[in-house]
Amino acid sequence: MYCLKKYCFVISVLLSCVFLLGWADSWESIQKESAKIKSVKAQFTQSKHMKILARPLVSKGRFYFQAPDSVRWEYVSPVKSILLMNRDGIRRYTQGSGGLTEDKSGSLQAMQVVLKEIGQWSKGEFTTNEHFTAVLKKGSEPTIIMTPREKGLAAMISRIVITLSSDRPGILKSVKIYENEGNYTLFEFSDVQINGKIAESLFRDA
Amino acid sequence: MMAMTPTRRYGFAVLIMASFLFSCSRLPVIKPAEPAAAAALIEQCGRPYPSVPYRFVHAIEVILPGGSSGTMMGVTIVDPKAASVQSAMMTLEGFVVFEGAYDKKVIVDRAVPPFDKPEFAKNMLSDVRLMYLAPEGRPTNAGTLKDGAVICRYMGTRYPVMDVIVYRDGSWEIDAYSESEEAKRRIRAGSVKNGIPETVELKAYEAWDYTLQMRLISAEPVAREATPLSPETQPQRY
Repeated sequence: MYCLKKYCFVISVLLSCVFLLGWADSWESIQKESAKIKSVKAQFTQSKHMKILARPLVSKGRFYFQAPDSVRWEYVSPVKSILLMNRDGIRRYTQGSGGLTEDKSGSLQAMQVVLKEIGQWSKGEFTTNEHFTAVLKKGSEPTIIMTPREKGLAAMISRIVITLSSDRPGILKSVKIYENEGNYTLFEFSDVQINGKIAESLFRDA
Repeated sequence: MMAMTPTRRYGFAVLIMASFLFSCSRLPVIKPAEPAAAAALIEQCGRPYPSVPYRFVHAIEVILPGGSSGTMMGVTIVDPKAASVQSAMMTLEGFVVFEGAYDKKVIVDRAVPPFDKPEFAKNMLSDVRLMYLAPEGRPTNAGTLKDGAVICRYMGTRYPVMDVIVYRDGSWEIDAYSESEEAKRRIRAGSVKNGIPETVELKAYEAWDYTLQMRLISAEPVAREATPLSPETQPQRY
């Protein structure tokens, strides 16, 4: 269960913080631009690619972030599910046979312990991250390639490729999480709005 | 502790016996079909099972004892001719926690803790086979139930006793029993459209009971040569 919890944590933190990336010529510029971003609102499309699937399995949803550590990661299809992270902790609600119910399995509790790492990510401090090594590749579409430091995590995620928008500082284009050969998840973001007002209740209520 | 009088002891024993009897399912009574009608009934009992290779994608709510639950996505490819199945389970975020197959034996391609126990793979793939692969051989008994539903009983296959029940509204049920006729699995398929159920519920009666509530996301036939690991499909959505 530890590995799954860790994976969930890493993914949640990654997805909640990648929007904080600044325009990327260097790690310094990333950190500098990151400091300017206080809130993010976006749509996302998640495409799961596997050999067992003929076509990607597509999920869609909405994402909200408010600095320093409030997140709402919400799937609207094919399964409605809402992950809420704020100073009080982490909760997940999923549409099931009994309506929208809270996940009481306890699998999210471990994520709370490491929420403090969000601060590190939000400052763009990828090079000092405990779980991944990071390489910045400059170009027309700058990318950050993250590789797990630990064998246990590497057995689940081989690498993560973050592609930054080429023309909008602070905007993320996509995140691709590779699990193994032929098996990856692509998150693509659209309608990204930076530093707009987001109601506090969105991070509290499902 | 209050001492029990003989009457109370008797009442207590009756209560225990009654609860035991209610907890142990009994096989439903079959009204045997006339020999001339048996073939048609047996054919109806084949309705729950795909006759060609198929891929199913479901949202699966797993309900554990005590009511705790979690939701996963499940992908299954069934090949009835080869009697094989392939399955993958992933979190809503797309992280694959289990991927394996049954093709004359259990094959595990990927298993992440806590889904890495051999028993999990064996039981999960057994449930998938129970759901999608028809029992081997001919039923030992075929007929109808009180409510007119068609029932076929198979003995000595994957479970000592298996009942396949097809209701008049097109829905169906697959029940598996132990040698002592105790219910081990109960699968109910509902909202059947074009032969494919929109919902499937699997109840497992084990030391740790669990329930799977499955909601169909997509179902499509798969080219036979594509079933193992390079699927090609003729897109069809229900």
